[in-house]
Amino acid sequence: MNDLLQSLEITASAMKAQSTRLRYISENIANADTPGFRRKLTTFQAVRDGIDPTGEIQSGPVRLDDRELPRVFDPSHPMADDTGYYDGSNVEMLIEISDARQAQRSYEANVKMFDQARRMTSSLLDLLRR
Amino acid sequence: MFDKLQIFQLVGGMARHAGVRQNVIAQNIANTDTPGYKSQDITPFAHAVEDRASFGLRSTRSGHVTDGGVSGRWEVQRVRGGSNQPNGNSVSVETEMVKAAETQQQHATALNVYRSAMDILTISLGQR
Repeated sequence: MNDLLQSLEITASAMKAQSTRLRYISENIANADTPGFRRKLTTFQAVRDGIDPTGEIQSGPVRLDDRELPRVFDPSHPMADDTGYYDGSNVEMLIEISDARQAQRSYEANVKMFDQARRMTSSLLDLLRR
Repeated sequence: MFDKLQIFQLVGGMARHAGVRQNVIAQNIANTDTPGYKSQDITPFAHAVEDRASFGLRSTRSGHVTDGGVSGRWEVQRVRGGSNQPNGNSVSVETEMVKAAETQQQHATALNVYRSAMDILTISLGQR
């Protein structure tokens, strides 16, 4: 019973982490055309209680993708320099979309596990109801 | 059967095993995107029962003490092999889903056996 309740907490933490990731992806997509915007990345890490990992996960600190920003030629752009170029953003739509899809799939897998643990708990409690 | 009611202990151990395994699988699935995470699993229940037969207390007479419980005879271990992604993660969601289905089956079986053993017990006591 205790293990089942703990697995509910673990899946809940994973769903939270995946939705944080999805939030950063949507920030990236929204800023795909913002000049000078660097893509935001997050990775997951284990939650630790002292030294021991609890099994739960959380999203790690946000990093910025330090790939070079593409130079876009548009002399009429207000941010263009003397040569007519300005810094674009290094967001690539294809990568963001596939990341979003991956986050969605992982989220779904976690929802399935949550549902299964919940059903196992309730069938265990059904033993009392006779 | 009704001398020691071992079936309840065995079935209880089976359900507990399923609970622990569910926890391990939930951890694996939660860590599908964590870099460097290695997939884990616990000792199969069948092994835990066999271990009891070879290493556990042996009862050769009816009055001997037995340890009917099989809980605590499994341990979490890393799964060898598996898919290795570039970030060092070895969790395959498909495998985990299959394991989760197995676990649920095992849990349901244990609870059903418990229920019917309880039914037999109540009938034999003359209630109902």
